[in-house]
Amino acid sequence: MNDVEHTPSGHSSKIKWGALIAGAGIAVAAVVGFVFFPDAAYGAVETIKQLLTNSYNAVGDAGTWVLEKIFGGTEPGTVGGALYSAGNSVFETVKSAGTWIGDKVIGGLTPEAAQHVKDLGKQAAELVASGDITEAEKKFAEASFSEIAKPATTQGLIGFIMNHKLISTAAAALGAYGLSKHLGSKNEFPLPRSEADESFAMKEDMRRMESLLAMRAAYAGYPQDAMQQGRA
Amino acid sequence: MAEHKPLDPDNVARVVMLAFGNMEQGGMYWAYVAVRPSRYEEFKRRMTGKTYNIQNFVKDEFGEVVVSGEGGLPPREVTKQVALLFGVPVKQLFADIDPLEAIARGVKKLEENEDNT
Repeated sequence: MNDVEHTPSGHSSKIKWGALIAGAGIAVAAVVGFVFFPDAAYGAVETIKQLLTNSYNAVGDAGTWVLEKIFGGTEPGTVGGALYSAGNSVFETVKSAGTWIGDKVIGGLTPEAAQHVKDLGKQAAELVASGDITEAEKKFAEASFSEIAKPATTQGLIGFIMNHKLISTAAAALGAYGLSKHLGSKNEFPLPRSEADESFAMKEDMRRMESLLAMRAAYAGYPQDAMQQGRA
Repeated sequence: MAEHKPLDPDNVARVVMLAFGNMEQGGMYWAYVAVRPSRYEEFKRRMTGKTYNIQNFVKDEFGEVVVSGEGGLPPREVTKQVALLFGVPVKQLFADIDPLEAIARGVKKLEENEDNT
């Protein structure tokens, strides 16, 4: 599995979703981030709908990144064309990685649910790539996730989330290409929320979260100088 | 009224934690991990000992790894994505909570809801 994750903001680093990066060793501290507790344990339909809405927003963010990078042409021999080819290959890698996580690491998805997720990812990617945002949105919002939720334990739910996240990010890569080709002009493209447009409230939340994290990590015995290593 | 079996917290909840440690080849790593409620206290104890190899986390059945990476702290974008994925507002991350108490409250509420159905 590819252990380099490209984030919507465009940077890449050694990050692995669903598993530990190679070489991670002795743990020195841990802090509680939050409690994950779906509103209804078995058949957490509302929770999943919410998660899907969030995933859809993530698709928009990822799309912004791809659009910024490929805008200016997607013809073979251009940078945009190369990115498009890379996008296709990323889609396949990501799809496989997502399935691998669901099947091997998390182990909580039934084969039927895993197939359903794979089918959904494919359909959504095709719809977004064709520029049919309305249908794609419906696909994300109205797909019968209750069928997945029914057998889902928390473990299964986590597997589902991870899988969906990976697939939707890949869908964004293809979708951004499809939209830019379909609409032809950046000015006509309904740009999703970008980091630059991030609301003041969100920035404040991030700042608050980071100071809380620093405080708790220090309290848990994580050295201050280690905390500063590799900070973006 | 139908009788319901008590809910196992491990089936309905996780304590999502951010762990830090040393890379084998030098430098630091971070990892968001989802810890089973029944193993939370033991995981905390292991952290205090500063001898636990995180590579054993899944094998030791502490829970699941959400995302991990090199460096002292996760990039902001990753933390934001984790919050989005689990539907938790960023401002609620790293709050001063007793996770087991929060889970016990949630389980009780779920059981009451089941009793009312």
